[in-house]
Amino acid sequence: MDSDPAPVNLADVAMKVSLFVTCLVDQVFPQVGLSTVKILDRLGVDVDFDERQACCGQPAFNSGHADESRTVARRFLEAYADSGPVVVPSGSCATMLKVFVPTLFPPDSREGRLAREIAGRTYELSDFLVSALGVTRTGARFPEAVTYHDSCHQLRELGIGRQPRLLIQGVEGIRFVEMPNAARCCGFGGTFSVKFADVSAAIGEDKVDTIHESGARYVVANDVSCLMHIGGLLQRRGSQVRTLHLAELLSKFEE
Amino acid sequence: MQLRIRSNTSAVLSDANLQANLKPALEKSLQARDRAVAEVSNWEELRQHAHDVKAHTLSRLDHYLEQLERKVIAQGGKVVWADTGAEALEFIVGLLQEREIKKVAKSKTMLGEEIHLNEELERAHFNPVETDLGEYIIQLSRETPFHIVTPALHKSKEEVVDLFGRELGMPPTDDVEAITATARAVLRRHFLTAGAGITGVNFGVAETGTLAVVENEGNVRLCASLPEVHIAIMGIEKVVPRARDLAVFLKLLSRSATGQKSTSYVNFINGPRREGEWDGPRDFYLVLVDNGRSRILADPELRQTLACIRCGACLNVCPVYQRIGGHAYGSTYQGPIGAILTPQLTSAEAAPEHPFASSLCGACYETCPVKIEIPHILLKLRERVQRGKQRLARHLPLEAWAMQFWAWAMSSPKRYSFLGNFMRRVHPFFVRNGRMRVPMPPFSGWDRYRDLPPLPEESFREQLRELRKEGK
Amino acid sequence: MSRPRIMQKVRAACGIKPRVPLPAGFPAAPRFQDPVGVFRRELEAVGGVFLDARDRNPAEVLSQVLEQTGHTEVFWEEEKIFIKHGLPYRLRLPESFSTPNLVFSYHYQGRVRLPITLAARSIKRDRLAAIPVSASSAAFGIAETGTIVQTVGPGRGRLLNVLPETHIVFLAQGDLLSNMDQFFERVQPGEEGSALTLVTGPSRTADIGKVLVKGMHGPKRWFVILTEGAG
Repeated sequence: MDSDPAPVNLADVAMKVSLFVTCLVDQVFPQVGLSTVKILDRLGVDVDFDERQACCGQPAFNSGHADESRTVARRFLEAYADSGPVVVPSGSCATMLKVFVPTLFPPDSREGRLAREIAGRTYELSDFLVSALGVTRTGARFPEAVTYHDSCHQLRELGIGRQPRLLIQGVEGIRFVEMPNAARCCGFGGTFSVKFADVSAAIGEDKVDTIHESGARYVVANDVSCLMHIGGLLQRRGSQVRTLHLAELLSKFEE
Repeated sequence: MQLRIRSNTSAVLSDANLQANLKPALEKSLQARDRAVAEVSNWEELRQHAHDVKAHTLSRLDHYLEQLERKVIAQGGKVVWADTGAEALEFIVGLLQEREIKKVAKSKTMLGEEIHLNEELERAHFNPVETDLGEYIIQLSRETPFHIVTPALHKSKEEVVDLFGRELGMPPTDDVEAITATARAVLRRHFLTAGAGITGVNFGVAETGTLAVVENEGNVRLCASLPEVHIAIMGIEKVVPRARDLAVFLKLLSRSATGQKSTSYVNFINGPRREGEWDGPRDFYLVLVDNGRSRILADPELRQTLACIRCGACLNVCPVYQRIGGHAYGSTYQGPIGAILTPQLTSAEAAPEHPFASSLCGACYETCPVKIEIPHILLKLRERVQRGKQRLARHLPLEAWAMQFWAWAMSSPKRYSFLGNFMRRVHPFFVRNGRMRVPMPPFSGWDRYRDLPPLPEESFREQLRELRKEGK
Repeated sequence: MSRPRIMQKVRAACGIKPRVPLPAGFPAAPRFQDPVGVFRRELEAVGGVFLDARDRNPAEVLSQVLEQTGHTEVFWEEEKIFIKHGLPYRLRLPESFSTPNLVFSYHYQGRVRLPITLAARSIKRDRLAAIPVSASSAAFGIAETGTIVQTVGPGRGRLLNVLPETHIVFLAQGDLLSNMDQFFERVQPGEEGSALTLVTGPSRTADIGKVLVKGMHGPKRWFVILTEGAG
C-alpha cells in the first residue's frame, strides 16, 4: 500500500485555497460564503471556487444511506483531486470530509487514497485562519455582546474549540461572553431534527435558555445547520437574540 | 416484537414531574464525575490503557474465558455456561428447585435485567428480593430501571414515601434517613431468610479467578456472604486478564459512575467459603452468559461495544437521555450505550429506532472511560437498519427513495443548481408575515417547533459569479 | 451443554483479526511522602472517622469510641489483632481501661460456631445481625482513596465487618500502602481467603432524591484506628 502523502505545508505553497462552501451555504445562506471569500481576500489568500461542487454526502451518511453518500462523495473527490488546500466554513462538513469520507471507500482503492489525501489538506475555516495562517485578527469590528456555541463535530471530532474563540476575541469592540455549557449539543443532529423533532427541539430549548442566560445579543457558531435550528427556535420564541455565522462576524470590516 | 422510541417521546417530554426530577439529578451526577475526573492528571492515559486492555482481551476472549473457568473451579466454584438468557434462567430455576430455596436476595445486575431474571423467578414461584435500594424501589413499583447505575433516578422522595407507605406500611415522613432506615430493616429480614444470593459481576479476573463487584450499600457483600448459595451471573465480555488491571478499571469506573475515588465497597470474590473460614456461602456458581455477545464479538467494527464497563456516564452526558430519560428507550440498556447495545444484542430489526435516537454529538465518546466510539458505531448501525429495511420492504421505503433522488440530484452540478433555483422560486408561497412555514412532510417535524429561514434570491455561486465578473 | 457451543462461537470470532497485544501493566503511581496524612484526609472525606493511636494505648482509643457511640460491647473474631495492634492480650481485665465496665467478646469462637444446622440458622443469624458494634484488623490501608482492605481466612469470616451499624477497624501503620498499584504488588486476590473487600467509608446510598445517606446495609459509623504495628 502506498503511504499517504503528508499534509500540505502551507508555508511552502502559494496562498491559493479551494473553497468548499457546502450546499446549505450555497443555496440558503450565501452571505456566509461571501463572508468567507471576503475574509480570505483581505488576508491575501486567492480563493478558487470549483462549480462542480455540491454536497459532501453527510445527510445520507448520517442517516445510514452509505451508497448514496458514496455517490455524492465521489463527485466531491473528483472536483478536488488536484486542488490546493480546501477550506470549509462548517465544522460538520469539514468533519465529513476529513473523518468520514475516507471510511466510505476501501483503504487501498484509488478513491480511498484520494479521500485520505484530500482529508489531509482540508481545513475548517477557523482552524485554517488560526493554525495555518497564524491569524487571530481579521480586522473586523463589532461592538456587541456575543456568545459562542461549539458545534459538536467541530469540537469533538476535529478538536477545534480554541481557534474560533481566539478569532472572536480578536474582533474589535466585541464583548465575548461564554454561555454555560457552550459545548453541549444544540439538538440539531441532521435528520435527527426531523425524525425526533420533539426531542431535538427540547434539547434546543435548553441551548436557547443558556444563550439567554449569557446575556449576549448574538450567538455565533460555525455551522449554519446548528444556527438554522437555534435561530428557528429563537424566532419562534420571539427572542431578540440573533444568530451569526463565524464568517459573517469575522467579515464585519469597517469600510 | 419491535422496540420503539419515537412513540414514547412526547409523553416523557410533557411529563412535568419527570422533567423536573431528571435534569437536576443528572446535573449532579455530571458535576460529580467532572470533578472526580479533573483530579486525575493522567485520565487520558488511563482511558487509553483500559481501551487497549479490553481490545486485547476481546481479541483473545476464548483464552481468557478458559483461564477464568479453570481458576474458579480450582477454588471450589462451579462454572455454568449459558448460550442464551433462557438457558441461564433454566439453570438458576433448576438449582433453586433442587435446593428447595424460595427466597433469593439479589443485588443490582443489568445482566439480570437483560435476561428478565425477576419475572422468570416470580413466574416459577420464587421470591426474588432486590436489595439495592434503587432496585428495590423499582421492584416495589413494578417498573424497570430508569438508568443502568441509578435505577430509581426518576423517583422523587415524595414518590418513594408514597410507595413505601403503600407497600411497607411506612408512616409518612420527609426524612430520607428514616426512609432509608425502613428499607434497611425490611431488607435485613429478607437477607436473613434468603436461601440464595444472586449478584452480577463487574470484572472477572482470568489470572486469579476473582470476581470483582463494586457497590456502595453493602448489599452485594451480604448477598455474597449470608445465604448458603451464591450465584454470580456474568456476561462473557467482562473478563480482564490480570488483577493489576483492576487498579486502572476501578479508578475509571468509580469516578465515571458516581464521581467517587472508590466506591464504598469493592468485593473480590474467589469462590465459596474455604476450610476454616467462619462464614460465606457453601456453594458458589459462576454463570457465564453469552446471549448474543459472541455475535457482537464476531464483528470487528462493532466489537468494541463489548468493552463497556456499565458506568452510565454516557447516559448522564447525553442530551437525548437528559430529555427523554431511560424508560422511553423501552430496552434494558438506555442512553447512548443502550442505543448501540440493544440492536446488537437483539437485531437491527428489533430495535430499528435505537441507532437514530441520537444527535451524534459525541459527548458519550468523550466521556466514555474505555473510549468506545459510540457515535461511529451508531452510524454503522444506522446503515444496517437501512439495509435491513430495504431488504424486507416490498417497495422502496420513502426515505430510501428520497435519498436516492437526493444523490441523483447532488451528483450533477446542473441538477443541483436547478433544484436550488426551483426551491428558491417556490419558497415565497410558504412565507407568511416574514416567516417561512412548511407544514408538510418531511418538513412538518421541523415546522412544528422552528421557523425556517427565508431563502435568498440568488445562490452563493451566482452571487460570486457576478462579483468575479465585476472584477472584485 | 452450552460450553462447547459458546466456545466455538467465541473462538471463531477471535480468529477474526485484528489481534491486539496485551499492553504492559499501567505504570505504578509514585508513593506518597506522607501516606498517613493522605489516608486521613481521604478517609474523612468519605465520612470515616480517623483515630491516631500511634502514641497512645489503642485500648484507650477503642474504649473512647465505644463510649462515644453509647455501647459497652464489641465483637470480633480473632485473637491476632490483640498482638498486632498492641492491645492488652487479656482484655477482660477491667483495670486496663479507663471505662472499667466494658465487655469485649469474641463473637464466634465457642458461641455461634459454624457450620450450624439449617434449622438453627435463622435464630443464630438473627443474633448475629443484631450485634451493634464489631471490630476487625485490616490487612492493609490504601492512602490514595482512604481505603481499608479486609480479608477473610481461617478463623475469620465475611459478615461481622458488614452487619453491625458501627464498625471499628484497626490498621497497623506498617500496613498502610500508598495506592492500588502497591496493593496489587503485595496481594494476589484469592491467595489467602475466599473473599477480600476494599472498604472506603461507611455504607452509603444516594438512591432517594440523590441525597447521601449513610448506613444503607452496612456500617453507618466507621472508625479506623491507626496503631504503631509494624505490619
